[in-house]
Amino acid sequence: MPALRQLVADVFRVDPDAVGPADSPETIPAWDSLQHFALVLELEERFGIQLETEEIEKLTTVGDIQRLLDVRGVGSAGEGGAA
Amino acid sequence: MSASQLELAAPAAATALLPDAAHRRVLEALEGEPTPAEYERLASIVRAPAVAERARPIRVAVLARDTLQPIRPFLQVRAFRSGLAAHAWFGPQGQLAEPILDPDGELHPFAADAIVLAGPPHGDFGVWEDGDPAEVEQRAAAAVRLQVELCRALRERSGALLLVHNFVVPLPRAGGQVCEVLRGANRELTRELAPVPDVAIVDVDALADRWGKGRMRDERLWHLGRIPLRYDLLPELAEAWLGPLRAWLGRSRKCLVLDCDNLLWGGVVGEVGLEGIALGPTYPGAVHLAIQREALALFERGIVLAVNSRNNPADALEVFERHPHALLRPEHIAAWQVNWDAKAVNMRRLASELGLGLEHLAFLDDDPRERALMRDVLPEVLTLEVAPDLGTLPARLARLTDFDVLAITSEDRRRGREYAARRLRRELEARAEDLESYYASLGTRVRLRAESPESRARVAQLLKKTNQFNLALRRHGERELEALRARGCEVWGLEVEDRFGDSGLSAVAILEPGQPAWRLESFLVSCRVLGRGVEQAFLAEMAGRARSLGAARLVAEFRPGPRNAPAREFLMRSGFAPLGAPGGDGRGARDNGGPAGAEGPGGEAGEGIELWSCDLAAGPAPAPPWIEVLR
Repeated sequence: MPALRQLVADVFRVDPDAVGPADSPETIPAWDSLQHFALVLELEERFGIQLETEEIEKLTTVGDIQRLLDVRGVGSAGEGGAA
Repeated sequence: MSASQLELAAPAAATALLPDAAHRRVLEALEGEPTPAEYERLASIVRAPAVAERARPIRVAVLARDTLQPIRPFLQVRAFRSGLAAHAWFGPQGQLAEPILDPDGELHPFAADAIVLAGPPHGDFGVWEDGDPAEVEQRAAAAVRLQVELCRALRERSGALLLVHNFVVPLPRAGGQVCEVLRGANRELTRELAPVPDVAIVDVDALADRWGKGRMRDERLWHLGRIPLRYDLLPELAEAWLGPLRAWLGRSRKCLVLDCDNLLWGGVVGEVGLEGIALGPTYPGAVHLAIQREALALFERGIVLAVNSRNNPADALEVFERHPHALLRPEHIAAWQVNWDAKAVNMRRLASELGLGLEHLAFLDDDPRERALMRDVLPEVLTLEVAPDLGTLPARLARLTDFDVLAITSEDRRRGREYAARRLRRELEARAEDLESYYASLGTRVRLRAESPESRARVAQLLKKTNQFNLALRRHGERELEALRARGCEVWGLEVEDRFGDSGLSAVAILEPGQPAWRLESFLVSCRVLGRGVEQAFLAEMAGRARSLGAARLVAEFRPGPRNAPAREFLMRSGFAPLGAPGGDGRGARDNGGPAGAEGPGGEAGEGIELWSCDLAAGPAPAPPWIEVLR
């Protein structure tokens, strides 16, 4: 989670300590559809994964992303570039 | 947590940086290839007011059929690298004509410096359906027509530079006709837009070839959000817009200053000697050979080359003169500073020796400390980015748009050669017993030319780019030149040649008839031909023209700029006396000279203008005897 929080903070320019699983485009104003793509690209870069079109569409909260990382087996690694 | 907390947290990290530190951080990050998220972070740094306010603001409007908004941070960061603060506005998704034609829309109040037309119908980046050949041809012709009509409509409503994407010729499918048709459409587009002033075609088809037409899209983002390009290609598209825009603003680089050891060849020549350096067809010499090849390609485009190296002069020169594989030879180099002084000091010497501003120089050095130092000491110089793996450098040099000009004229192509010839002239000058016999030995001939459609682009280019010997600093584009002619002004050019070569059209004057005073609306001489009486000969010709048509006085307009003080001294030497600012003593000249002066693109003409008057019965000084004037 720390790596993911840092990533969300980096992409949307927010405080990493304030990012939680319930955060979504509803709570983070910078999270619009274009920034969503930027988030996905950064996610792929830092965690070394590849998302499918459908998955990109379906990810709408930080918690969703965490679950996806867990399923891919990179969720608890916590390294990524930013940890 | 609440949205407002998040917003409060956002800009803190970025604005905490002092402008200089921010500048350094951004430029150093660009040495590598930042990821899209890194670009976003860098953009938030350059957007901070304290940082942005030190750059020249430019406003870029983008009309696109597909989603190009993601380019914003890339554009801002790339613009910042060349001292520009980019403000971008994006038209409504998929609308091309509407914003242009709607007088109450957002486009026109945005007052763009540049408008990108990134949307041939049927897809920006190669989404063309094949089909019946006749039908494909019809669609392509209609698409060309629409682009041209949109450009003409824009031209009537805006003075902005128009950056027009051409069509991306798609990958061929079996039996399809569409590739050949679109190649023809691109030629047609170029032809049709040639007469429209201040238009630059952005060759996205060539860019797409470089990117790889089958792999330039992230298919997922295309389907989800109609984003036509991978994010990692967006910096290059931004550069393709900035190249012509910088040229249009008179901010392109004219000279590449090269380090030697470990750049133009491998190893230190002073230590390992001519035989010991790496330069040739096999690795690692092949990398250095490729770097030389790129420098030579710039030279062939008219970019001036110079050398700034820590070396014994004889050691470095020997490589240029005698190395069997060297592509760069002494005749390509316009100025040398090979010594043990600080490179920034040498850079200043090169600028003054070449008569170029620091803002026209680019610096290439393999040593990261030298680059960092140059960025700190001389931020006006563009210090080019070099990755640790030098093997990536040739391709990177080939991609640079910092040296772009709007349309390459034959004068441009000659420039590198000509500056090198000037070095030979200076060497002769040093030998000449006195200056006058030196000038006579040059055999300078000048030819007066009324401006014509063939020379128009060159005249506009000189108006834009000449900073030093330029009286009024008016940056007329081709459109403004039309307007000036329409109200009776005469636009004159001067071609200059001597026994070392032909400099082509190198000086421009704009005369406005009046009674009893004629007005010298603009007068400039390229620094390439300055300093041997060419300016005096040209002024005498212009005065003679006014005198023969009944003028009693010639009133020259001078606007002080950062570097044009020599032009004012020239007026003083040539028999002109100050009249004072317009509205004071100088009012008469304007009243007699027709409507108030044409405004430059920035609309700042009229402020700070000094009027200088010369009685044509007494002056100005005639052409010097060593210049032959052909009419």
